[in-house]
Amino acid sequence: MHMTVQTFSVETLTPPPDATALRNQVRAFITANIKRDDPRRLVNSWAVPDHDFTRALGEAGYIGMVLPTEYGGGGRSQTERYVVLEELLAAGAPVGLHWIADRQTGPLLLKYGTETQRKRYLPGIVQGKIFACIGLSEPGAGSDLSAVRMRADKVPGGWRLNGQKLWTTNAHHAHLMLALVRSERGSERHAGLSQYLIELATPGITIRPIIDLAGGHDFNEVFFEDVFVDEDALVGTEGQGWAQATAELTLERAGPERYISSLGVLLEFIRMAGPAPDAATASVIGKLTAELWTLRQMSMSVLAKLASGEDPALEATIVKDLGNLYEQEVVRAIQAATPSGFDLMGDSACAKMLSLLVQVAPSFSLRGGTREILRGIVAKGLGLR
Amino acid sequence: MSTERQMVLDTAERIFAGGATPETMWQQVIEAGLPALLLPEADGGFGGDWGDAFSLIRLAGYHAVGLPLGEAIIGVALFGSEAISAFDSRVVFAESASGTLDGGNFTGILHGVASGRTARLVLASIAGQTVGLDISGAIVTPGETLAGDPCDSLEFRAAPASLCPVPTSLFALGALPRIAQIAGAMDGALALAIGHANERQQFGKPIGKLQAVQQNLAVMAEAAAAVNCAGQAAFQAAGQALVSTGGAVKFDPEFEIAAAKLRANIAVDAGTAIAHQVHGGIGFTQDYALHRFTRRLYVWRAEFGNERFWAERLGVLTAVQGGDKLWAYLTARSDLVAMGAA
Repeated sequence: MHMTVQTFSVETLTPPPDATALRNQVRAFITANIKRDDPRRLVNSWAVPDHDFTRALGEAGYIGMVLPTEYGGGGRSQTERYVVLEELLAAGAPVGLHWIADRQTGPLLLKYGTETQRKRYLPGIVQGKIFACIGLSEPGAGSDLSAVRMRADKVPGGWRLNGQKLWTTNAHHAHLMLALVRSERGSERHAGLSQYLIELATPGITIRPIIDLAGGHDFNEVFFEDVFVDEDALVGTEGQGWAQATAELTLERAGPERYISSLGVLLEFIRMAGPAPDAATASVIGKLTAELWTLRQMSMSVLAKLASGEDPALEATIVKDLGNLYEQEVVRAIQAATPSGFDLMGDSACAKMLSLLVQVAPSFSLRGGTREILRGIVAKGLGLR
Repeated sequence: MSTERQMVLDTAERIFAGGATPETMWQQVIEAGLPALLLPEADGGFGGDWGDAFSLIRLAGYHAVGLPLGEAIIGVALFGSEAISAFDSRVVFAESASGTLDGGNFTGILHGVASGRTARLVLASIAGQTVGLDISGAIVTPGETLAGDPCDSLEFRAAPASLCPVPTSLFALGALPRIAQIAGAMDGALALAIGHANERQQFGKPIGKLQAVQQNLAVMAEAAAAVNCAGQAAFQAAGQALVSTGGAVKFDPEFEIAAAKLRANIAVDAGTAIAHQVHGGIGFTQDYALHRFTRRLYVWRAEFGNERFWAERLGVLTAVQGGDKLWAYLTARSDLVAMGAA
């Protein structure tokens, strides 16, 4: 077997023993707390901010589930968290506010943070009261993240920050930014970078909205002018920011959100088609379902690796690229398969979902690593250099 | 996987890579007992699970082996140890049948029987029933696939047919080996393409350094990854079906098989096109090994359900659940299968 190439090592996810009960609990919670007034919210799940929902979710113990109980976390397993996440996403629940803190900031603080940082932020994250954003991209650093220029200068008692972050999702809702910053003067590329956890209420920070082509506000530009943060703002080891940030990207790329977020429009299309669709419609549903089912298997395999302590960076990258392609294909295929007379500007749930998704779909293969960057990572994993 | 099962894979690897003629290799496979993979050790098998079956059949595909090993493994599991004692493990499937069952006797023709001429027992679906037929009484009309593998028609006259209960359609079970073979052949072709891209120099460097080539090979690798994952899951679902047929739970794995075969068929597009594109002219020659993979991939994606067949079938299975129940349906099935595998 040592001679063979297999790019994706498949591992079977063993669901938690009480998976069925857990799914039922989450489904009951969602039914009781979700607002169904606007179908568009259901296909934009992790971009929809909803304070009431997030607070209730925190109270129910569905945020920070795997964090230790001493920080207010649930002390639950990765597989239990996975079950909850996919249930939330499949239902189109509005998880935008706490999503990043739950997925990335909490685990990162647990891994690299000081005791002070953990005690200060983790309980609020778990309660759904503290939200975070990720400060990676800058005007001159998009796909080439190592071109980061935002600067941290050592000053008595802490650091002084100057620079600009761009495309920062949810900065306008977040209390915290986890930023990748150049902490060593004159350093280049991957060296001399550090991660800082910055409270966004600190003086000297300006957040400006970037409105997307569909009128939505997810992105922001964030300016830092002589912003003072104390020594506790440094996360992990000074100069190790690149390694820490890329490890964090695996968490960003490994989750089920990369293929489920358009599920709502597929379900709506299936409802519209009815129980006995014609052959052409059945064929479209069949193809989209086959890929949905396959991506779910792949996503569960990535989680199984993560849960057993392995690093599924390559597998996660593959799932993100295929997941993004799929989310875009769902939109394309369903718009192409709607019956004649279908009004994209009409009042049907399917039309409302589609009219939003066709516009925002191009962003799916841009966020969290462009398609080209992801495929470059895969090629490197294949031994092409 | 247990050490013993790893030894089975190592044995298989040596046989598949050995380069014997198909007839000799088939004999080696039988002598090594590979078709008995799924039988319990008490019955002379290896006590493997369906994940092992996927790995073994995939390995044959990885070496572009066109033998009906998957049919034999599944056939022996369905038919029991009699398939070994009475039929030398030479069990194959018919893709389609025309004819009649009269008083338990079959008269008619079976089509699309891989290696029918050297097989001893053929499983076929006739009038909604799955039956086993002793091939010794059949008239064989030899044929071959476009990849050159034997694929025959078998004619029977009033041949006794023994009933063989299956947890889903025989057609769906027949799709299982093809999924694993496609998964293996995709990775086999990918390994060739990566090797070629790292060796072939153009513009003063290996073509594998060109981003356009890298991006294409990444697409191919992702397609191969999808088939491997889908295949593994479909085999586990099939295993769940066989486990539960004796008990209270009736589990038909057609949904998972449909999804995986459809995904595999679709993946063949990217797999074959990119592998050939990367290889340039050399991959188009008879001397070079690539066509041993790609020509089989074109065959396997059509056998036991092409894209149209499984897309429509899966679409119907999905539409019956409806938009309100589909998610609960998917999760309940995968939770059940994973619990069974654990």
